[in-house]
Formats: sequence, C-alpha cells, structure tokens
Amino acid sequence: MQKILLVEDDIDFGDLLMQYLSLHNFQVERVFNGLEARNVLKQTKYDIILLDVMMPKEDGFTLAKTLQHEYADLPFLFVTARKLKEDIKKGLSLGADDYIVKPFDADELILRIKNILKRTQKHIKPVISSYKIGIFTFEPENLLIYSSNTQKRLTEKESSLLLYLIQHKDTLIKRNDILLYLWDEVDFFKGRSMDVFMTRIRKYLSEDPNLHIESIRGVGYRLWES
Amino acid sequence: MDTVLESTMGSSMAASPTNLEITEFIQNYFTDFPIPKQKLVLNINPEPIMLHTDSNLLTNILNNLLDNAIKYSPDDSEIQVKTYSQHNYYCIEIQDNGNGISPRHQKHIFDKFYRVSQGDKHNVKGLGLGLYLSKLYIEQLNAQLSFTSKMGEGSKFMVMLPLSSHL
Repeated sequence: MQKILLVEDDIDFGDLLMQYLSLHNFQVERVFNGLEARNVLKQTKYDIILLDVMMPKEDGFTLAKTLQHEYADLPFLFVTARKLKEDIKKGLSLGADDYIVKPFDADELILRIKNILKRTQKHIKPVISSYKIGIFTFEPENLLIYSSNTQKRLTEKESSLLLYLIQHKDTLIKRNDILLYLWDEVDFFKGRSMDVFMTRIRKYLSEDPNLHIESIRGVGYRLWES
Repeated sequence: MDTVLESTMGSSMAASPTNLEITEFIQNYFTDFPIPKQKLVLNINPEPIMLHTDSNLLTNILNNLLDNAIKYSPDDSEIQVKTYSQHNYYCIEIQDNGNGISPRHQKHIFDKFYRVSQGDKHNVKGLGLGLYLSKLYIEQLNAQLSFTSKMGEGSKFMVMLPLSSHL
C-alpha cells in the first residue's frame, strides 16, 4: 500500500482529505507543519508528500527547499489556497511535481497522485501474463479466457473484475471495494453494472462446475474452487 | 520536539466492529472535541449501553457532522448534542443554530463534492465530502443518518446505530 505524508495545518480539511485518500487505499500520515514533516521524514519512508503552503512554524515553500536537496527522489505536490501566478511558479520552481489550488475536485487530486506515483515508482510489480483458474487459462492483458474447449474475449471491465476475483480467490471481497477498484467510486448505477458483469463472468466460468462465485447478500462475493 | 502524527490505513471503509460501551465513548469524544467559538451543550443519556460497532468509522462520522455544525454556526451560538435509545436504535443528535439548509440544497447535501456556499466561512477550502463520506460509513455500520433543517433556525443531524448485536 502506498504511503502519503500529508502536511496540512487545517484540522478539518486535513481530516477529510485523509479519509478520502484512505478510501482510495492509500496509507496516510499527517503532520501540521514543515518542522514536524522534517522529523517524520528522518524516520519513515513515504511514496509521496502533499504540502500545504501557509502553515505555522515552517511553511510549505521552506520545506520544499529541503525536499529538493535532501529527498530529491521523493515526489511532492502543493495543495494550497495560494493561487497567484507567482505562487504557482514559485512552487513549481522548487521542484513540485504538481500544484493544486483549493478548492479542487478530490477525484482529480487522486488521479494526479496516481499519475505521479506511476511515473516515479521505482519498484514495479511484475506483470503476470496468465493465470490458471480451474480448467481455464486467463490472460488479462489479452482480455482472453480459454479452456481446451472454448475461448472467450472479455471486455476490459470484465477482465478487470475477473482479475480482481482471482487475486482475492477464497476471500470475501466487499461490493464497495470492487466498485472502487473498477470505477474509483461507489455509485448505485455502477453497482448495477457490476452485477451484470458478475453474471457474465459466472456464465463464462460455468463450464467448470468446480468454480464458484458465491454471493454473500448485502456484503460481497467470493471466488472459490471445490 | 514532539511531533503530532496522525495516520490512517487504507481502509476501503470496511467496518471492523467490536463491542463498544457507547455512552463512555460518546462522553469521551465530545469532552475532548475542541470547539473554540461556539458553546457545546451536552445532554447524554448516562445509561451504559453496549453496541457492536466500529468506533473508527463512528469517530469519522461524528467528526464530519460536528465540523459542519461548527462551520455553519455563528460564533457564540450553541451546538447541542443529545443521545437516547429509541425503537432498537441508539440515537445521537447534533443540532446547530446556524442559517439552516434551504429546501433547494437539502436534496443534494449527501452528493459527492456538493457544498452549500452560503454561510460557510471556510467555503474556499472545503472538499464537499463530509456528508458523502459519512453516508458511506453509515452504510458500513448498517446505521441510519437523517436530518431536519429550517431556514433561520439551524439543522439537526441524527445518527441511529442499531442496538442489535448483529451487523
């Protein structure tokens, strides 16, 4: 799980932002000014830092100078109400990977964070090209599932959903977690779409009677093999 | 130097319920909550009651509701908190004496990113997520969240936690 350091002195804003980032499967730690950030950076490794600018004791621009020199590989972005062109230019010239002005769309922030992490990640998970599940072979990159008798091309969402089920085989996965994985949001209509995809996947897997996608009413699903 | 470090794990909102003596939890929560500019009036039912619920999600819900009450209340006004049991639910009411929410806005306040700009002195920084997230947590707890509001008189939000031991 990727770890974010949030440096933000506004208690309520920071609290909500922590909740939302956590909802999107980030581990978030939060301090209230630049000095506290320096202390925790000496002890803990983070994947990215979100910085406010206006904070007591040490502001975000001052901290950014430290980040530039001592933590050059650690991406950071400003999240601030300071929106003058001079502020934005100053933030970017201090090496920020992005500069976001409040108020902002939190989903946009999530996407920007993910894009920065994708670009700067040093440890990339090995891509598994195929999975064996029952009598089937599933190739997620090719959107293909096949057995000795049949072959089926999946849609991207079906493939993503099947991959998620396989990666969590034998464990209960909650509806909301699946919705967030597929669409980054929990929404009634997306939930209905997910139900349709799940029905289709059950049908594709029905050739193997030992494979089961169990529905636990009101909670989620579990893929298991008898 | 002491560094205050808060952290969350990527929770995916999953509820992890445990047995919780709710009266003590509520008393501790509201006693510790800093409200510098309004007056907090507590009317907490003293009867000890055990619930099976997730205290972290409940804390987030109360944080979000109380934050809104503070944001939309004038300085020196009262924010009233009341707890009681009713019809198999443990109820927590948070009442502010702010401007109230107009009928036009009421149907949208749980929408993601929706913000009622009027009267919110923190509007510039707001994320518009507090009630949206609270509603998601409420669903995880199999609880209920409702509100009443009248223009010029303020708003009252009610959290109803099931008294049943089953979630």
